[in-house]
Amino acid sequence: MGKIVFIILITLLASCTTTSSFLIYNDTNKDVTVTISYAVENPDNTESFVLAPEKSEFWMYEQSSFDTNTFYPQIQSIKLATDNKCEVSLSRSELEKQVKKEKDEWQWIFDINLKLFDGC
Amino acid sequence: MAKESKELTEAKFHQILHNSINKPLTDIVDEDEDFPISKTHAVTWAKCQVNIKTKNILVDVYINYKNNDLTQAEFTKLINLSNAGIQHYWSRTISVDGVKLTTIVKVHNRNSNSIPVDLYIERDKGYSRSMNPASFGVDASFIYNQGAFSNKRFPKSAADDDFKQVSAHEFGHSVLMHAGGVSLSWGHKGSTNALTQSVKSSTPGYPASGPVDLMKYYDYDKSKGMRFSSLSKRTKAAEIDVKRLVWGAKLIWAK
Repeated sequence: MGKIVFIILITLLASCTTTSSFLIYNDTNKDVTVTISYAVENPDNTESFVLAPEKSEFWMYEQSSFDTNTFYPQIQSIKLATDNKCEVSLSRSELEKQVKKEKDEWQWIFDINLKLFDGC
Repeated sequence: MAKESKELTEAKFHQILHNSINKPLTDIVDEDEDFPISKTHAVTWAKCQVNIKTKNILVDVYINYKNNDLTQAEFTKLINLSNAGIQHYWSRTISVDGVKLTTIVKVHNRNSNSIPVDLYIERDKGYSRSMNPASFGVDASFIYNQGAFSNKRFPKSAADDDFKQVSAHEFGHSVLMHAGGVSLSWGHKGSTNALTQSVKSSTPGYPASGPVDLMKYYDYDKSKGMRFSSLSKRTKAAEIDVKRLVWGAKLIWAK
């Protein structure tokens, strides 16, 4: 009996949150330095890393099952820079237009492509 | 000049180990209990051998992996990954009375006197969460998220790496449950609400540097995000939790 109650309880609780991921993929033929600003309480709120062509980095996080239409809420903006000093900054609202998630999938994907650097 | 510390005897090892995890040297048995149970060095699914001369602790952990609907090749792969994860994240140096002891965890598959674990593969594209209540006689479920990581943009080893870390975390629930019950285990060492699993308001963000505790949750709103590649490198079972494992395991003192 206790076992059945427990399984029902776990099933109900597990349905409250969803595990999501946010993935950045370098779809160019250049190294790209990615700098992310997070909207968080800690003043140390940026991080940078270099993404080689066809490589990716991803984050996993929990969010409310009722709010899965929002990608990683803490990401505020992303700056991209190539080694020839071409820089592009994307605000949260600009990122929202770039980031894609297919139905029934858990990952939000941001493809860094050469189009983003048009105008450099 | 400070004198060199005296030899770490078996009695002293126990005294200091138990103190460091806030446990009495011998169990305080509740006299009201009809069948009092000693928890010190009492789990059936782990034993350890302490060799003070070589400064090693070898911990043998026993898991009963169960196959529900996997092919034999899949089942074997998941056992190997789970074992590798538990061994990697739980093997570390612990310090007892200033003596650093290399603790090596080794996992064995055994049907009895073991932690029951159902192995599954999630082939759909959503991420399924593993669990280990470590109570109610409910088996743990370790889930390999094959579908979730099937997009070619993910690093090739992402599903394997995730499963290794998840297996190590879920195994840890058995350690914490034995040492501290529901609040320690389900409550992720005070970082979450034991039932809802949501982080508490007092829970900090990820540490800016240094190790990330395998068994704790962190508050995403309080620190910058943690890339999975960084998380994998920085995550480790905390020293106190490895001590809890040794405290729970049957102990042999090598002569």
